Amino acid sequence: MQRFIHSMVGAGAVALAFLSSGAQAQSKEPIPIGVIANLTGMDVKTSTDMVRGIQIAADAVNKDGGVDGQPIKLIIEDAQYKTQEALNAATKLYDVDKVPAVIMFGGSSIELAVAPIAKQKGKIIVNTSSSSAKLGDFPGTVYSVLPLDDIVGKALGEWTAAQGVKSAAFVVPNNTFGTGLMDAAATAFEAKGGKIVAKIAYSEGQPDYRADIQQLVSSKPDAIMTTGYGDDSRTIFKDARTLGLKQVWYAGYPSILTVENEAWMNGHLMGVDNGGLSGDVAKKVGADYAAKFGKEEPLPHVFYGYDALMLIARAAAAPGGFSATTMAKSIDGYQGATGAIKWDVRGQRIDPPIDVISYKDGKFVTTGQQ
Amino acid sequence: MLDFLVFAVTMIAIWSVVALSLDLQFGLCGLVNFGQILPFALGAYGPAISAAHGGSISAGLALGLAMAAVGGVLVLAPVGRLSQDYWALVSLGASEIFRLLMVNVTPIAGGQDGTAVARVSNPLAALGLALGLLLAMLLLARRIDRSPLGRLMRVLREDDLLVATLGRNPFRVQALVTVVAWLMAALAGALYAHVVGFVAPSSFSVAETFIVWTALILGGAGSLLGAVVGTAFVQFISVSTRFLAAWSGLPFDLVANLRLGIFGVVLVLVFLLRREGLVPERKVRVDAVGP
Amino acid sequence: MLSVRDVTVAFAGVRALDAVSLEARPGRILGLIGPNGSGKSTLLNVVAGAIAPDSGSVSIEAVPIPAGRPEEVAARGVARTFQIPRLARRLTVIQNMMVGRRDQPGENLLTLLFRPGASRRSERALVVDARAMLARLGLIHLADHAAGGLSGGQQKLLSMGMALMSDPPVLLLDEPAAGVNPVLVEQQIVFLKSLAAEGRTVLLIEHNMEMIADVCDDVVVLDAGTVIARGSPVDIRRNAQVMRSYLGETA
Repeated sequence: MQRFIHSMVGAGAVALAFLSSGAQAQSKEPIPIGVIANLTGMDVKTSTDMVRGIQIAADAVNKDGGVDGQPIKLIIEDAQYKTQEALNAATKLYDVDKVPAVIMFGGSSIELAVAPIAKQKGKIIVNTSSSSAKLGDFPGTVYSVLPLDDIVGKALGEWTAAQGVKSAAFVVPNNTFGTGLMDAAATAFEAKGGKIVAKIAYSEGQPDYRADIQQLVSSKPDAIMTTGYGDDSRTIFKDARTLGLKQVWYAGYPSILTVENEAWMNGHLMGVDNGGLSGDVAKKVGADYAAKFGKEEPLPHVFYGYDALMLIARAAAAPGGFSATTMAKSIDGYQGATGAIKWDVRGQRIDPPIDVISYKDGKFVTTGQQ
Repeated sequence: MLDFLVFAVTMIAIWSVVALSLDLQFGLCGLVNFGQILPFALGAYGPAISAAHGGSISAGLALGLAMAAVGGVLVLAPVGRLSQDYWALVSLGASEIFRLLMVNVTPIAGGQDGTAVARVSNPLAALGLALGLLLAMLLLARRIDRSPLGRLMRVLREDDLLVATLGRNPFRVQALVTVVAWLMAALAGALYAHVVGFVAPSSFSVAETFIVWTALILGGAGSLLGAVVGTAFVQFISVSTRFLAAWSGLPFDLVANLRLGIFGVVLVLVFLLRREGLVPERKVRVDAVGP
Repeated sequence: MLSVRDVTVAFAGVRALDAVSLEARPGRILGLIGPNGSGKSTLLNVVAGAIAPDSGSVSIEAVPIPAGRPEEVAARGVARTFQIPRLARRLTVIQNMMVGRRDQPGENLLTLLFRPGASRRSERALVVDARAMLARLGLIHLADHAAGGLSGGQQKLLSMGMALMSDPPVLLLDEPAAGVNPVLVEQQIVFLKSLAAEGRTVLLIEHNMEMIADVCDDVVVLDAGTVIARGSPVDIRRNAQVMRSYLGETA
């Protein structure tokens, strides 16, 4: 028995030495930053890319020594696209993990429920994906990296009308990303006198979309406005080609579409995109993404997530530490993956740069600015 | 930490009332309702519709309760004397129809994106309201449970022809239970709306109905306390898996799905190992001097 | 008086009952006998309101019963038992007995919530009556047992007691002696006679000829949906046709 106790004490001492030496090597407490995204349920793909963008940013910050030596620690929670779960996640992050800020993916039903709680506790939310105008009702609490009212969508509608298109149909995925862009583009297009022939929001993950777009054969719009990504966009193009649809495609975020037939698409696809996404920072983030996650094309959400975390890190590094004041100033001089960021007094993004992009000879090229 | 626990307990209390309302229908009366989220949703959408159109809080509450009472009878009526299987399916369909209506008809209450509702800003006040509601509903349920009405419902649970033979209209008893249960769930829904401060269709899917069922079965159908215990248990597993997920250090997308998987596995295991539920149904003692 | 007039019931082209008529009087026990499949249970179901006849009618005191509505017929004062006893097996014996009484104030939700005293008073009286009935049936020692745990014969006694709790002027009994041990059958016979003495109308389906002979004042014989004989038990026993169609064994 005596020998047992001695050996336990000895083991304990060794363990203690190990732990304390480990503690010494780490000189500072990590800064916890919360992330709430829909990792299950709806909008999973876009949420996941946003989180990946945040991780790329956090890794970059930590590689550079963190914020004054303090590493950033991400705590990622699943909202399951349900209001109550988002609240569970938010209260856990703010009260238990004691994060000063949470980066949130939407929809607005989730972010608008969490916003009052963040406000009550004097905490911050950085919005990366919801473009609801109501988010502007929480100045000092909610900061949006995504432009409100989907400025890319609005730009698409205006630009398409400016190209002389008189009638158009929409083909977008039926999620908040697709329908949000469609609604903004439709409003802008109609304001410029355009006529909308059809609004097709297709269910994601189907093997065939001919039934959905069949109506375009008879309704014959001048052009088709779209956005989308991945296999679904590929299927849409293939089905359109098979049906003999000859219209030009005007897209929001054209570079994330998957072209099915290069020859057929050549010169038939153009659109507008967030200008910053072709900048140097975005290219580097894209490269990091490819290195970490393979060949998938990053969705715009990657860049919004990246910028969100970078801004938080900048605010934390500013004199006085992280606060609403330093957060508001964090955009000063920051060139992000989504370009230069400008906020109005409510912390909502305005005047983002817009690029015009065309698909030529198998490549997406930037042909101008809006 | 305190706010987190206060919110968790508030939610447990609210969902316990929903489980209790299902217990009245199923545990006591044998009615299988696969759409119990519907009266809860109606109770929440009353305030939402009122808020979206400039109405008052009390108008919202009245609307929610009215929709639930009418809804319960409307859903039950076409089934009438048909068998239980039909009612299970009809109630399931009704809950989905309502949810899809709210998703697609945006002018009613904001569609997919939902509507904000006046929020109880003091978390302790919210907790107090929730616990108060739970207590009141427990007392009501207990009153019914131990009464001749409760006894009749238990007979109905086993044999509806026997009930008719004994001179009572089984359909009327079913309708009464349904209306009471739906009003109960609607009250919980209205409180939920004002505690969360936001009402959106994604909170009222079929998955929610089955989580309430799970809570009821685990806690012990037929036992009133079981509804509360089961709900607390299910919420506890859901919340604690969040902490486990964070500690595991696994990649975030994997761990989110694993978390839901573990949630399901734990529930199945508990059910397999203790079929009668955590709180088994006890022998009923009726009001008067027991024999 | 219970009167059945020209009742016809057809299931998928087969006539389960073909223009059957009979009368049962208060204070008398009418036995209904016949081979299996002769329509006895169908007739009982029609009288109880569980089946609506295709033609003909059933009347109590000259007022026709609402066909196809068993709860309304029961409210008119008709109580019945089933060949395989219908009980709430998970409730106790005394709880089953108490459900037998109709018009309990405690079954009305509003009374329950706002006039609890009325409910409690009624329950107290009901417990006393239920115990008395259990004692009368020799089941009082099983009062707190789950009804599902009783023997077949005891369950039959219990269901007869339940039927009586509503003080019904008319009683329909479906093979009370089937599968019951002879001692309990004797008990049932005494019980049935007391029912008639109380002035009730009793209609009894049975195969047990001893019981029929001992208890019935009148007997009706059914075969393939039609009445082939009527009379006192003695008459029936002597009826050659009846012997041929049904009674294989010595009477």
